[in-house]
Amino acid sequence: MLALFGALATSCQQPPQSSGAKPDGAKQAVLVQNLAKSGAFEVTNEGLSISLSSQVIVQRWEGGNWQDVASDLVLAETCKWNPKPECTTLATGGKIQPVPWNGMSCSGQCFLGCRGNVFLGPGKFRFVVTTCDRKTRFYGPGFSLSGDDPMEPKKK
Amino acid sequence: MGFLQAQWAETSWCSYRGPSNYDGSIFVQRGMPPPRSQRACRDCTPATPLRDIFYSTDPVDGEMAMGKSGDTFPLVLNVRHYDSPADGCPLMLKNSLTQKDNLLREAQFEFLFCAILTVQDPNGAFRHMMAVYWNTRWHFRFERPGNRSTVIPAGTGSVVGTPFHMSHGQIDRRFASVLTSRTEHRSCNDIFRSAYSAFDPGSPNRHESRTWTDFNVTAP
Repeated sequence: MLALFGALATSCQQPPQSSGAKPDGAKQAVLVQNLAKSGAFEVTNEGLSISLSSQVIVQRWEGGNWQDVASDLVLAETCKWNPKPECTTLATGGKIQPVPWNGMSCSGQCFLGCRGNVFLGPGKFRFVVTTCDRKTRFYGPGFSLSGDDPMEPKKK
Repeated sequence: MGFLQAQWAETSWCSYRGPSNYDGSIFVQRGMPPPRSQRACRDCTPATPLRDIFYSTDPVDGEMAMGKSGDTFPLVLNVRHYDSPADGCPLMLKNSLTQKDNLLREAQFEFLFCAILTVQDPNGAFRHMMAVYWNTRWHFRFERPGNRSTVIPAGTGSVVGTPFHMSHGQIDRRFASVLTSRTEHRSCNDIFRSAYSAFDPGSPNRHESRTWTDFNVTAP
């Protein structure tokens, strides 16, 4: 871990409050909901069986807009060595609780090798789940990520 | 103004053994060719395109600051630099010669970096101002029962050197070619990830033995 020099502060207007997921246009079929722990979320399919992209988009509220940030977040409930398949099928009524995101741009959920790797907090974030063809997006509500760097040793 | 970063050396190997001598052993060398295609590389965060040269161009990361037209000198710009590199090995591989599971016995990772505070002038030329060498190293041995791990103290630790001023144009030859080159097409993240192929059965850097063997960790 290396951290040098002074940090820049970030500030912006408040993001719009959202009560839950809203897809692009189509009838909502997939709900993206935050769980109690910051960075933890649940995806529920309230429609017909659906194929979702295993890659989850992370967005940060920045300059009055939601902006994509780089992360390796996936719809995986456990940490496994093998790469996650491109798509994840969620049956009607099915739920996934992915491994929570810790705010890092690499190794954001599970231990992975990284070289360049930064902590993306603090700030307001949201998760965006897409269909496997990436044509439809399902937006989660915003949540706050504190400035506690998960890679820093805990102070006793 | 912002940071460039080069990784100029890497050690990365993992050694495995079955429970008994005739269960065999495996050695995987990930830090050398052909799986690791080059020694030095330009390091940048996953969000930063390699063509952008800098370690991170995402404003929120605070790794870059820009002057504005009309600014007067002296001008104060604040930047920071952050990295949290990591790596790992599978805990178990199947030995194709004995058909037995071989467990992780020993692993060593060493990543050596140089971060450079650089100013880019309006014409695109880079002026390297200050640099700091830093590294992080792990060397562990794992023993049964219970996969108890033992740190090899001399091989585990991290050092951040003293930042020093750079004379204009003075760059360490070990990584000068990758630092601001427009022909680099793979970042350090790309390069080490592709070297995971060393674990694949049949890889020239995966060595298997029918018995416990002391492999040469300095060879591919």
